[in-house]
Amino acid sequence: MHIVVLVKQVPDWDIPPSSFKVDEAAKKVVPPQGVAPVTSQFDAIAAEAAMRIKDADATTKVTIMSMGAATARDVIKQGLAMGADEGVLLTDAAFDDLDSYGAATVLSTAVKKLGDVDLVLTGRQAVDWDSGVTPTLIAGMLGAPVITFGKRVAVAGGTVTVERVLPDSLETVEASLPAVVSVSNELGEPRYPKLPQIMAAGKKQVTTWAAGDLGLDAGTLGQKLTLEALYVPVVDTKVEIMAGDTPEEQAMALAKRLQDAKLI
Amino acid sequence: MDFQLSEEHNMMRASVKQMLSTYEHRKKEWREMTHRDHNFNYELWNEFANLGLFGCLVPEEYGGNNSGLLALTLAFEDICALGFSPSLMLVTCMDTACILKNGSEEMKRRIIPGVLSGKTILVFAVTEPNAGSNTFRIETVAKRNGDSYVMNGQKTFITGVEVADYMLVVARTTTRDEVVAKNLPKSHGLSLFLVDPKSKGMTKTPIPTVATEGVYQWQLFFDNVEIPAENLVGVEDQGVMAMFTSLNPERILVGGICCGMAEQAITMAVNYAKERRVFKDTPIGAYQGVQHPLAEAKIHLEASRLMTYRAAWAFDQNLNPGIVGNYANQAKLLAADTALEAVDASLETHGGIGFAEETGLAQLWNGARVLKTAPLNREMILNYVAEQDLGLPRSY
Repeated sequence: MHIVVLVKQVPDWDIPPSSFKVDEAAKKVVPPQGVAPVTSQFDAIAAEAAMRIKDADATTKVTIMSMGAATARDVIKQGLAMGADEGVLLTDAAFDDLDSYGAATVLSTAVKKLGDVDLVLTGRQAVDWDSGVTPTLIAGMLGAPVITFGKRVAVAGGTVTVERVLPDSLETVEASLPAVVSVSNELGEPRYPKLPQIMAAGKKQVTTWAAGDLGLDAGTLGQKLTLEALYVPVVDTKVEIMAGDTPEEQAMALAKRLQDAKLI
Repeated sequence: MDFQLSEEHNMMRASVKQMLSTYEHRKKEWREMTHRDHNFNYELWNEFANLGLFGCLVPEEYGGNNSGLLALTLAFEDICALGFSPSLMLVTCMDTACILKNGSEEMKRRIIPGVLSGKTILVFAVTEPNAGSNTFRIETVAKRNGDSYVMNGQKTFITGVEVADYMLVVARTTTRDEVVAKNLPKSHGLSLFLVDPKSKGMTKTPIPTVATEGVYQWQLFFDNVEIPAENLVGVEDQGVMAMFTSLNPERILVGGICCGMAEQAITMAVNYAKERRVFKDTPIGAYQGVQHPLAEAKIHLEASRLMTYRAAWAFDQNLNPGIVGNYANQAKLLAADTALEAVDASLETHGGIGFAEETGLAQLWNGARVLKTAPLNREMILNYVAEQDLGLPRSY
């Protein structure tokens, strides 16, 4: 069993909103100064899902793969410290600012290059752009089934069984391997690496592939989406105190106000 | 010159923070448990062990992770910055460093596994009523008697004896009179022993103190306490050098603790100053009278970090212990002063609410104040720097 976990390095989502800035002219997020980027929240949970499968079957091989700047090596190392076996960094100027389709093209090509992959695990969405379509695009490009929003992932006998989260319930589905599965936060908190694992991860090598190694170039990674504008929306907050001599009168006033605003 | 921390350091810090975040809701309960009731926090201790922090100074051949003193110092800083306490991890780790450097192979194999798993707690016993900063005046004696030593004397202000499995005790195996009579160096005659606090002949009396978290301070009396000879750490009569192998890490780790305390205090003050409004709708953080003390504390914190990290780095590089000691002492002094400065500025920013138990700031002030005096006071560090660094003559 060979599992590839796709992880993305994103700006730390835990920073105060006042530290989040965008360059509207360049249509880019300005990295917050002094705050190191981190592993996208759901991708760390995908690594946790892989490690649980490896806990159950120690022969499972887990590869952590990330596309991004050279600093994305850090999030690969984080996965290695959680217990993964190998790391692959996909970095090239041609990979900068790709949309979901472009990213899926690069990632699926790299997965194919690895050759013996049984299961691709991803987060349900990256917490920077929150598009949530890359896992499905990758599955399409690999010609593999995809199961999204996994809460529990288990593999046995060439099949992956996933308990997936629906808006008001859970459902359990199966797919034959190879497959792509995205996981959701309901799977649980990712484990934190212990110091012996962290030190061991420091000795594990991370393979780096550029566009040329994958037979790709900027021309084959054309954008499908056009970013028209990027800005921080202005949120206007107002406080209204509901009039009324009793709580009941205030509640009635609130209900009428919400109704007038067509909120209920 | 590279000021970047390594990938491993950053990952370790992330793990420490992630582990502690799961206990955020227990912080108030634990503060009361340790500060008010002096109960030891075994739950957090076991988490430290599970994370591998006790293995930072331990080579892999003994089951450690050998990530180094800088890694451990960063962990201490983060633990304190997040409002938790490393507690006896300081003394257990410094004792571990001493055993690894000076102990027999049999002792390392016997003691270190328990330390790594969190099952063995070590404390340090050097201070006596007549021997504080001047270790050479130690009067507790240990006389060889066949396969054991017999210890007599007393120690005071020994931390955490009630939970310790072993105390690393400094005692005389050659008396001062014998040293003088034989014209031996004054450093001669001290030896280190691992002593079980439950040994027959030991009397323990708690000393009521404030600012001791989760444990008590103790006065100890040794009345013909028998210690197996294999519990001698290092070479008989040559304990001074062995002792100093644990004192350098101690001071560096105190630097880390103080940096964390300062970070916590400044963060609390900044958050409060952004919200608190006294005049019109302006947060008090906009007033320079509030800003400047916090900004000064922040600058001193950055300086303290640099000095503390350099000292830890020097220890990890196996630089000459004298050089490491110089760095360690200077870092400890600045960091301890900074912690107190930062907590004081934070209290001033908070005003009356700063003294409410729920903020924890008053308790933090107690802790910071202790570290200005302990484990080595400012005056002795200044003496050391004046003599060792500046080459000035000694007056005492």
